[in-house]
Amino acid sequence: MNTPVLRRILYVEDEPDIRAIAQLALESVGGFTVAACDSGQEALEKAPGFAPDLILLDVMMPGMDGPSTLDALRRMEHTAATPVIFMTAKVQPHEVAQYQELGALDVIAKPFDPMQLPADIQGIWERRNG
Amino acid sequence: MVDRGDDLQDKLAALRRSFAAQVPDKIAEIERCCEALHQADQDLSALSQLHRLSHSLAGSGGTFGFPQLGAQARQIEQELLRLLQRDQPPSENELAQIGAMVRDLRGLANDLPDIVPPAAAAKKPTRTAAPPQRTTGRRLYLLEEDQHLAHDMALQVGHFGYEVSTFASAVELERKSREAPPAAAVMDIALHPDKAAEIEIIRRIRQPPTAGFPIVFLCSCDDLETRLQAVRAGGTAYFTKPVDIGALVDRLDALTSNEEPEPYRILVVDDDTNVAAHHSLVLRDADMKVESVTQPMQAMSVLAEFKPELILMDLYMPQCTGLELAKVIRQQEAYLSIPIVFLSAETDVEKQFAALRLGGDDFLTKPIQDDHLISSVLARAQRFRLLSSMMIRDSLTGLLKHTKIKEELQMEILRARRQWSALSFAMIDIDRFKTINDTHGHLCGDRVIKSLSRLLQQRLRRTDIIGRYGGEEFAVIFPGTDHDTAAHALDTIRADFAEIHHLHAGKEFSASFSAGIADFPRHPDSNSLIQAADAALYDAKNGGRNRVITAGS
Repeated sequence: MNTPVLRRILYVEDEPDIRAIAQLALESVGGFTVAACDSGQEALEKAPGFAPDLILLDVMMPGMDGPSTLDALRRMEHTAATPVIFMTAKVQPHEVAQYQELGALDVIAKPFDPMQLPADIQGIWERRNG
Repeated sequence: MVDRGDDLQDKLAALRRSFAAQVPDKIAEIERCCEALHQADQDLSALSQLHRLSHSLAGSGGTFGFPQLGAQARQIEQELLRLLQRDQPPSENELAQIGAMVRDLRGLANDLPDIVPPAAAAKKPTRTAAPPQRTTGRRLYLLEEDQHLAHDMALQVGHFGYEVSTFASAVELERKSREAPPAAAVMDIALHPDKAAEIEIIRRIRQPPTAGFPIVFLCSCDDLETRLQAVRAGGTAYFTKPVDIGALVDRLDALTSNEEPEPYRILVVDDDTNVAAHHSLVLRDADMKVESVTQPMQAMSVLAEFKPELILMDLYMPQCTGLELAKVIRQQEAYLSIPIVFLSAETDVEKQFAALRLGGDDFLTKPIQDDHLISSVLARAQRFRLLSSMMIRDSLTGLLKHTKIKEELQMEILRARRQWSALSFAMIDIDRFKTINDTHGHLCGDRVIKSLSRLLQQRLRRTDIIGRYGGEEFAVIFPGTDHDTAAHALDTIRADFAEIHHLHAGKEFSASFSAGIADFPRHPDSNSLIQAADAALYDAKNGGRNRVITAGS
C-alpha cells in the first residue's frame, strides 16, 4: 500500500511568531515546502498557484476563522479535496470529532513543540492518508 | 533534507528570544484589559478581549519554551471562557480572582528562564481519535547489539503487526527517534555503571522533545539493583532474557494501544431535576456518557438499554427510596456487580452504613465537589469495566468467551430484525492444530492462536464482534453484512494468515484456517446460524482445508 508523498504544505496562522517558528521547523526539520499565510484570505489567494498536498489551518483567527477558511477552500476546485489538519488549543474529544466532521484529517494541539511538529504531521499523513 | 545543524538551532533560539522580548508588552496589554474589566460596568467586550489575549498566550507559550507562562495564561483563559459562556457580568469575587491570576502571570513573566536551545517546550501529545480499523501497524525500535538475535526478534515481533527497525547503538536509536518517533522501543542493554553513557542517552530520549514513547528493557540480570537502574532511566517495563515473545508482545500491545477508551456510561437517578442535570453536566464534562432518570420507576428499563457501568443514586425519593431500588437492581444476576454509589445529604452514619450493607458500593454526601464526584465515579467505573472484561474475555487472546459471543449473537440478531438489516456469522478453525501442538509444543500452539486472534482484530472492523469459541476455534459476528462480503473479507485474512511464518526452535512453519459462514435472515435465528456455519466449516475441512465456504451456496 503506497502512501502518497507529503511535500507541499499550505500553512495558515495569523500570529507572526507562531507562523515563523512553525514554518522554520516544517522546512528545516521536516523538509517540506511551505507556503505560509497570515489569514484565510491570503490562503485563498495562494492556494491555487501553490497546489498544496496538505493544508495546516489555525482555528482561531480574526476575520475568517479556520472552519470558514476550510469552507471557502473546499469550494475552490484545486483544494476541494486537499487533506486538512487543524491547529488549536481546543482539543476536547467532542471538539476533535466536530473538526473531523468538517472534514479534517486530525487536530494538532497548541502549544505545539516545533521540533516535534513535522513528525506529528508526517505521522497523521501516513495514518490517515494511506 | 533534514537540517539539524547549528544553523537551525540558532534560528530557533532567535525566534524564541524574539518571542520573549515581546512578552512584557503582551502582559502589559493583559493587565490593561484586566483594569478595564474592573471599571467597565456591564461591558462584556473587555471580557472577550482578555479571553483572546490569554488564549493567544496559552497557545504559544509552550511552543517558545515557556510552558509555565502558557499554562498560567490557559488558566486565565478557561476562567474567562466560563464567564463569557455564562453571559453575566463577573462578580466582585470573580474579578478579584482574575486579578490574582494576572498578577501571577506577571510574576512568571518577570522571571522568564533563559533561552537555551533546544528549549524544553511543553509537549502536548497529538490528539488522534481511534482509527476505524482496530489497530494499525506500529513502529517499534529495537536496540540489540547481537545481530542474529536482533533479526530473530524483529521477525517474531513483526508477525504481531509491528514494523520493527533494529539499531546497534543507542545513539543511532536516539537520532532516529527524533526524526520519526516510534510507538515504543525495546532495548537490550546491560544496565551497569560501564554503560553510563548509554543510560544517559536513554534518559535523554525520555525527555522532551522525544518524550512520550514507552521503553521496554531486556536484560539477563534480575537483581533489584539493575531493575532500579531501569526505573531510574525511565524504563516502562523490564523483561529478563531469554524473552518470552508472547509476553513481550502482550506488554507492547498494552503500552502502544492508541485507542481512546469508550466513555464510561453512568446512570444518574435523582428525583430532583436540577440536581440530576447538574451531576449529569459535571460527569459529561469529564467525558463520560450520562443518562439520567428522575422517576426511579423508569430506572429498570433504562438499565437494560443503556447498560451503565455505574449508577449514581439519590437516597431519598418519593416513589421508592434509593435503598429499595438498589435491592431490586441487585436481585437480578445481571446487575449483581454493577457499582452503585449513593449520593445524599444524609449525614447519619448509621443510615450510611445501612445503605452500604444493602448493596451500595459507596456513599457520598451532598453537597459534593465536582472533582470529588468525578474521581469517585471514574475510579469505580474503570474497575467495573476491567473486571467485567476479565469475566467475559478469554485471557490468552482478549477475545470474547464462548458464552458471551453466543449472547452477543442473540442481541445482534434482535437488532438486525429491528433494523431490517443482514448479519453474517462465521466459524473459524485452525487447520491441523493438534499436529501443531504435537510437533511444536503447546506454547507454540498458543502463539499461533494469539497470532490469528491479533490478525483478526487488526483486519476486521470495529463493529465486527470476535470471540474465541473453543480451543482452536473462533467465531465472528458481522453486523450489517451479507455472507459474500463477509466471505471476501475473511478470505483475504485467510490468505494472509497462511503466509505468516511461525518460529519454533529455529525452524519456520506456517498454519492455515478453514471457515464456514452463514447469514441472516436466510438462517433466521442463532441456533440455525450456528448450525449452518458449522456445517459450512465441515465442508471447508472436507474440501481440502485452508478455505472459506458460505452456507447454502
